Amino acid sequence: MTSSLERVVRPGFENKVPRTPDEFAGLWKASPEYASLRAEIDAYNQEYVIGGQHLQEFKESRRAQQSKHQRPSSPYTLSYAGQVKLCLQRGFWRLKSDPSLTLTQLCGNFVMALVIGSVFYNLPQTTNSFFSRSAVLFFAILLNAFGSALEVCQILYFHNTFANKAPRSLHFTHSGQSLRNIPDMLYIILQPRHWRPCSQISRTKSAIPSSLIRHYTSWST
Amino acid sequence: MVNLNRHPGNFFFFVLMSFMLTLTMSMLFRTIASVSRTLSQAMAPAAVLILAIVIYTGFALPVPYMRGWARWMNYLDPVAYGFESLMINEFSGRVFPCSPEAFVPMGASYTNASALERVCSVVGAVAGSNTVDGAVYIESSYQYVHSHKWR
Repeated sequence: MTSSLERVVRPGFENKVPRTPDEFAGLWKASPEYASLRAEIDAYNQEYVIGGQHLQEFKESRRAQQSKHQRPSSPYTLSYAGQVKLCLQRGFWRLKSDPSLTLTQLCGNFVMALVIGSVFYNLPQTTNSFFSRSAVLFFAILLNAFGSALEVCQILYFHNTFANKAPRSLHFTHSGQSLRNIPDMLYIILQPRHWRPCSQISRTKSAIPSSLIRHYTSWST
Repeated sequence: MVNLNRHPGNFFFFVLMSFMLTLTMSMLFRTIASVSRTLSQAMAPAAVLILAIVIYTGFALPVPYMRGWARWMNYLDPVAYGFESLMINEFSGRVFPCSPEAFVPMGASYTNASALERVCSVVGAVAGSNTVDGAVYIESSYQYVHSHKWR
């Protein structure tokens, strides 16, 4: 319609059809359809005034949706503590649903601890043991620190896909999500514990494996 | 099993230090992972960091041996502080008797030598004494001082 080459005019109307954009605009503004459209817009604006009563109702409903401790001006539904609680719960559920990885890591660390303990078994209290003691400490630190590193990298990349599914902007702040890894801490807490029973001395002079296991289980109960 | 220091205070200090060190390193690697887009992209700086941290912890390369231009890595390394605390935890306040084969000079004809004529061939020994003080040992070979325990 707007291209002059393709326009097809009904016969008898050649003088009334608008040809320039200005004529089009003028005709539209003078037409009854435009007038009714304007009337609709004005009626809508009358009913839902900006800053009027409906805004108040919306604000109240939003405030009712937000948790008790939240600032009214914040865009998030929950307060920070509420978010942390939710994320924490989610983390525990995740741990409960699939503990296989964590358990595997724990068992692996336990076995490593036993191995290291037996390598450095019963260090004598004399100066012969100086180097061995420092080596044990060094090894313990390194294993703990770098054992967690690899797992962390993998877990972060794996769980990000879960986190991004949630409607981020409304429910969880980013820092609240970072605290979701507290159940991972359980694993981290248990991990160095395995070293220490290996450093508990057995008073008996023997190195029989059965006594090893007996001492360890008596310590852990 | 390993017969490290057997007092409960030292035990819990060990656990605390290990826990905090694990947390610290874990956070460090999370930081690296959060600024990189793929797993392989995160591995590169992580590997370099691991290497630097392991070397400059202060065990393989004791602190007195570190060159001035590389010493800063020892200051930045959290594992170094943890290792120092653990060493202090283990050695300070204890006195280790010298084992018989560490005495110099040694041998059948020297068994009756008096205390002043022989010395323990271990770093930190003092002539005339049969024992080596743990704190002196770590100070002289690693330069670890007891006041650094909670650094």
